Amino acid sequence: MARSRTTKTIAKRIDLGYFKRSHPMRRWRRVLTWLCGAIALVWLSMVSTRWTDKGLSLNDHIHNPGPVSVAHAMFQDDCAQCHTSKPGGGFILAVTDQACLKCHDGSLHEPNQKIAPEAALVSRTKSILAIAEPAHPGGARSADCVTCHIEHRGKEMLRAVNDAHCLVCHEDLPAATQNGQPTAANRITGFTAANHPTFGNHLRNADKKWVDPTVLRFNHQRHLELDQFKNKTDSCTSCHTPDPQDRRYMLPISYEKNCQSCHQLLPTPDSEPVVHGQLSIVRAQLMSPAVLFEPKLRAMSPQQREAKLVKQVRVGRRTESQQIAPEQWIADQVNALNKVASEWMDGEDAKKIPNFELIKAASTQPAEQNPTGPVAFVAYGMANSCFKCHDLKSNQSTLELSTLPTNLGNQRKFTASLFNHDSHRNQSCRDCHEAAWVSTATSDLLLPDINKPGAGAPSCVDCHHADVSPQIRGASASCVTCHNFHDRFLDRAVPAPLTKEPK
Amino acid sequence: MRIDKSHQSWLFLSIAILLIAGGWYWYDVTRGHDALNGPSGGSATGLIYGVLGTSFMLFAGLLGARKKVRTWRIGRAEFWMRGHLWLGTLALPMIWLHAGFRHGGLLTSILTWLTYIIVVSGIIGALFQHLIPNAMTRSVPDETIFEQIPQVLRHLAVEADDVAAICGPENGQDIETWRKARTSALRTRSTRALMTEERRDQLAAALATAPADGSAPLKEFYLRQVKPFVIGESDQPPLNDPTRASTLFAKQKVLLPQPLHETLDDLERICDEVRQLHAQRRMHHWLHGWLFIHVPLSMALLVLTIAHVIVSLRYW
Repeated sequence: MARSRTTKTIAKRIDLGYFKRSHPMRRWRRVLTWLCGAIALVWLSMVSTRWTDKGLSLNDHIHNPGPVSVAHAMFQDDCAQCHTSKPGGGFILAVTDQACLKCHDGSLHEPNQKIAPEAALVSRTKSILAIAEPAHPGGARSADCVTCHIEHRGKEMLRAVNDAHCLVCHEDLPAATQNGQPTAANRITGFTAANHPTFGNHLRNADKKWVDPTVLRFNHQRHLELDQFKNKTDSCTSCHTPDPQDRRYMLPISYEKNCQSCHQLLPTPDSEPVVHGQLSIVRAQLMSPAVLFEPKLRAMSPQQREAKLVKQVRVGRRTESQQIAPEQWIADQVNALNKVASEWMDGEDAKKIPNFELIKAASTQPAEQNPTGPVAFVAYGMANSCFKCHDLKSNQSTLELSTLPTNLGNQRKFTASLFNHDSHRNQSCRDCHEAAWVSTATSDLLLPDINKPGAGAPSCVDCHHADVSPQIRGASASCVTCHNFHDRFLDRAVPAPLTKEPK
Repeated sequence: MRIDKSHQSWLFLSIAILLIAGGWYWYDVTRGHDALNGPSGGSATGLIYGVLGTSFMLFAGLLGARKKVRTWRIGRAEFWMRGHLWLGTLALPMIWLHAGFRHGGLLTSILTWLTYIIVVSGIIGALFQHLIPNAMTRSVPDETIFEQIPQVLRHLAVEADDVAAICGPENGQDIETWRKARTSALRTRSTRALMTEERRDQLAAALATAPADGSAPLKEFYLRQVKPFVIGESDQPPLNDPTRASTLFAKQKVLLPQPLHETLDDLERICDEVRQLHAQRRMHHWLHGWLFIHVPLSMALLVLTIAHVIVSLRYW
C-alpha cells in the first residue's frame, strides 16, 4: 500500500491548537444567539414604551393576553384603566370591583338575593354574591365582577358567562334568597323541560292557569278566518309588525293602525265616528249627539243632501215628500237615536254594562235633574263603539263610563328574559304561536313553551340544547342567551362621564 | 446523541408527567376551579403549568451553560443532554396547558410560536443526531475533526502535487530548478503526507527522471480533472461521485504504462479522501445547522419569557 493511514500519520496533519480558535460556524452561532437576544430586548423596549409630552411612559398593549371585549376596546392598550393596585397590593395590579364601577353600576340580580354586609363575607359557597352599598338602588350591588366576567378572551366572552355561575344559586334558590321564598322556580339547572320552569311564570292567575293579561276583547280565530287573512303567509304581519328601532320585538297594536280601517266607532250607522283614545271627547260627542250628524250632512254632495233632507208626510190618504231644514233633519236623527237608546236600555244587552241599574235610573230622570246629559244615549253610544273591544267601568257618583286600560304596548310576556323575534325570522309565526288559530279569547296565552312546538314545528329545546355533537349541534342554550344577570331597573345613571384623558 | 434504551427512564418519566399534567388539566377544566370560566394562564392551575413549562425551558437552556463548565461535578453531560431533550419537549405541552390551548395576545403568540419553532427544530435536530452519525461512519471512514477539514484538504492538495510530480513541471519551468524545489518540498512536508518512506523515496527518485515516459496523459488528467477537484475549485461530476470516479480512473489506467499505475492509484485514493471530507462537511452542516435556528431563538424566547413572567405577575 503506497499510502500509510495510521493514527500517527493522521495526527500529524492536524493543527493541535485548533480548539483554541473558534470555528466560524460556532462563532456565527454565538453571534446570532446574542443578536437574537438583543433584538428581542430592543423590540420589547420599543413596543413597551412610548414618548409622550410627559416623557417616557410604559405601553403595555403587547402584554395583553388576548383581545378585549368590544365594549372595552377603547382602552385595550391602557392596562391601568382596569388593573389598579389593591390596598397593600404592592407590585401586583389586579382588577378590582372599583375599576368596573367607574363605568358600570353592577346592579343587583334580584332584591331578594343574599347580601353580604362587607366584602370579606361575599362567598360563592354560601351563595352570597352581593355586597351592601347604600348608594346603590336596593342598597347593594353585585360583588366580585371578575369572578363571572372574563376579559381578554375575545369580543364576546365578557358577557358569555358560564351557566355554572348561575347554578351557584339556582340549583337551590331558597337557600340563596333572604326570605327563602324565591319568585322564580326553586331549582333551575338547564334549558330542558325537566330542568327549566315553563315560560311566563308571572302570567298565572289565581287558579294557577296561564292567562294573557291584556284587557281587550279580541278573537284571533275569527279574524284569522276572514278572507283577507285566511291561509295567507302575511296574516300575522298584517297587524303584528317588527319595531324598526328594535327588531327583537313587535310594535304594539294600535287602533288607528290596525283596527280602524275595519272597525269604525259608529254609535249609529248614519253618524260620524267618535274619536278613539280620549274618553272625555267621546263623552262630549255622545252628550251632544247633534255634532255626530252635522259633519256627516256637510260632507254630502248637494244631490245626496237634497235626497236626505226630505221628509215623508201623510196628507190625508196620500204620502207627500216635504223638504226639511238641516237642523230639523239633525233633530230627527237625534230623537230617533234617543228612542233606539231607550229601547236598548230596556233590553238584555244593556245589562252587561257596569252600574246598569244606576245608569238606567239616571236616564229616566228629567234632563234638568240629570247634569250628566243624556245618560242613556252616552251608554248606548259607548256600548256600541267602545264596548265591542274594551271592558267598561263606571264612576259610582258621576256614572261616567270609561274603558279599562288594555295594557297593550307596555307589556313583555317574558319579563325575566329576552327574546329576539328577528333572530328567529327563519321560523313562521305559526311555528310558535299555533294557539292563535284556535284562540277565541284574549286571555288565551298564545306563547310557545319550552318544549311545546307549534304544528309540526321545532320546539325551543329542539334548537337550543347543550348537545354539541356535529349531527345535532344546536343554538346556544346557556342562561345568558335569554337572561340578563344584572337587573337594569336597579342601575343608576353612569357615575362619571365616559371620557378618557387623551394621550 | 443517539436515542436508545438508555432514554427509557426519561421516556417513562416524561409520559408520567404528561399524563399527570393532562389528567389534572382535564379535571380542572371540567370539575375543578377552572370549570367556571375555562382554563387561564392566570388561574392557580394555569400558573403551575406556566412555572413547570418555564422551568423545563430553563433546564433545557442550562445545557449550554453546563457545556461551558465541563469540569463542574453537577451531573454527567449525558444526564443534562437527556434532560434537555425530554424536558425541553415537555415544555411545549406544559405551555399549552398553561395557556389553555390559546395563543393569546401579541407577546404570548410570539412566545408560543417561538416555542413551536424551537421544539420542532430540536426534534429535527435530535433525529439528525440520531441518524447522521451512523451514516457518517458508513460513508466517511476517513473522517477527521470537522474544524480541521480545510487544513487536511490543503495537505491532500499538496500531496497530490507531490504524487503528480512524476509527470514533470506544470508550466514549462526550468527542469533543474523545479527538481530542486520539489525534492526539498517533498522532504520538508513528508511527515504530514500519508505515504510510506518507501513511496516517498520512490517519488524522490522519480523526480530525478521526471517527466516519466508516457506520463503526458496523466499530466493532462491531473491538471484538468484531479487538481481542480482536490484544491476545491470544482466539486462537480464525475470525481464527486465514487462510482463514476472509479470508472474514470480505470479508463485512465488503460491509457497509461504500468510504472504510472501506482501514481494513478495514489491520486484516486486522494480524490476519495477529498470526496469523503466533502461529504463529512455536508453531513456536519446537517448535524449542526439546525442549531442556527434552535439556539438563537431560544435566547429570544428566554428574554421574552422573562418579560412575560414579570408583566403577567404584575397584572395578575
